[in-house]
Amino acid sequence: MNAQKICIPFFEAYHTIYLLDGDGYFNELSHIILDEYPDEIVLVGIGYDGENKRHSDFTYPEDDLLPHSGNANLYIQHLIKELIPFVEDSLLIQTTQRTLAGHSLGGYFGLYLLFQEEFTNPFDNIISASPSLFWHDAFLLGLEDQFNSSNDSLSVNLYITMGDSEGVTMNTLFNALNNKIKSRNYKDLIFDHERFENTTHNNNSIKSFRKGISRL
Amino acid sequence: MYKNYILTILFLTGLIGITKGQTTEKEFWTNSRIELSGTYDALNHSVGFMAKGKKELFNTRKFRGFAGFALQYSYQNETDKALNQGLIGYNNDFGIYAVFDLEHAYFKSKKFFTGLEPFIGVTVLNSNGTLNLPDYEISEQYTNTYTYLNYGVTSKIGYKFGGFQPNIFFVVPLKGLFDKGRNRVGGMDSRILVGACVSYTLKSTR
Repeated sequence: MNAQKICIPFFEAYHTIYLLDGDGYFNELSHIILDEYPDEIVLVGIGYDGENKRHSDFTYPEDDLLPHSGNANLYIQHLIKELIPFVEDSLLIQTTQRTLAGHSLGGYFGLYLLFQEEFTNPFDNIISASPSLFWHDAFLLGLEDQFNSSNDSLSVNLYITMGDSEGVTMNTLFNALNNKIKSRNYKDLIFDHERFENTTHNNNSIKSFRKGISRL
Repeated sequence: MYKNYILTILFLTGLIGITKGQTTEKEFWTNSRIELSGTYDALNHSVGFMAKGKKELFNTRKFRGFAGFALQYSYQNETDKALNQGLIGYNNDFGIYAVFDLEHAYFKSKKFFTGLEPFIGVTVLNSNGTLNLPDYEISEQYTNTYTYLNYGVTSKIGYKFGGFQPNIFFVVPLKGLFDKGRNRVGGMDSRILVGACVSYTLKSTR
C-alpha cells in the first residue's frame, strides 16, 4: 500500500472515496475532485506496489478465465480490517460517508461486496462502472437471488453504469441486473443506473466516477 | 456527428482533386496500388479485413507517396464466449477512410521498405444480440449503433517481389492524443490492429 503525503485539517470531516484500480484512475480522478470538490472529498486510490493482482482481489469465485482468481473475500477483509482503519484511525481522517468506486472487475467487486453475506458492507455508496457481470457464468445474478431470499432491505446508495458500446454481453447483463434489483423493492436502497451514449469499456470509468460522485 | 461527416467528405473530395491533378502523360492507374489485408485486434478478439486503392503521387529515389481510400471491416463474435451458454451476439464495425501513404525504400535494390500511412474517416460500430438465462428468468435483447470520426496511423514493413509488395503492419488510432489521454486507446472504437497485407501495383513502370 502506498500513501501519498497529504495535509488536511483534522477538525473537518470528509466524504471518503475508496477508488479501486488507483494505479490507473487516481491521477485523473484526483484532478477532477480537486477542481470540483476541493474541500469535501478525500480520495483514497488503492493500487499495487508491484504486480497488479486485480484479477485475484476483485473476483469470486475462482474461474479458469483468469489464473489465481477468486480472492475477493480476502480483499474485503483487507479493506475492513486494514485499509479503512488505517485511513480513519491512523491518518485521523474523520469520515461523513464512505464510497467505493470500481470499474470493470472493480465494478464487479463492488457488487459482490454488496450481495455477499459473510462480511458487513462498510460503504454507504457504491459506484459500479461497467461491472464484469459475466464473471463465472453470471455468478452475481445468482448471488443477488440468494441475498434477496433472506433480505428485504439493502442499505446503500448504488449507482451502476455501462457504456452503450461495450458489446452485447456487458449490456444485456447490465439490463438483467438492473431489472432484477428494481423488481425487488429493497428497503433503504437508493438505486440508480445509467447507460452512457457513445462510450466504450475503457472510456466508461472516469465518466462514471465523475457522474457517480456528483449525485452523492 | 455531422461535423465528422463533413470533415471526412472534405478530405475525400480533396483527395480526388489531388489524384486527378496527377494525370498527365501516364494513364490514371499507372503505378497505382490495390491492397487486401487481414487484420486482428488482440485486445477485443476481433478479426477483419481492409481493402485499399491508392494512386501514386510521387516517386523519388528513396521515397514514394500515395493517396487513396480504404474500407475496413472487423467482426467480434460474442456467442457463448464470456458465458458458457445463453448469449448469442456479435459486434462489427465498418469504416471508410482517406489514406496518405509515405514509403521509404532501402538499399540499392529499393525492394525493402517501411511506411507510415495516416488515415482519417468514419467508422460505424454495431452491436446486436440476445441473452437468455432461464435459471434466472432472464431474457434480454440489445442493439446499438455508434458512428464516429476515426483517425490514426498505420506503420508497415515490407518487401517488393515484382509487382507485389507484401507487408506486415499495425494500426494505431490516435484518439486520446489531443485530449490528455481522456479517451483510452485500444477500445472497440479505437482498435489497435495488426495485420498482413498483399499489395499489387497496377501498370507498373518500375
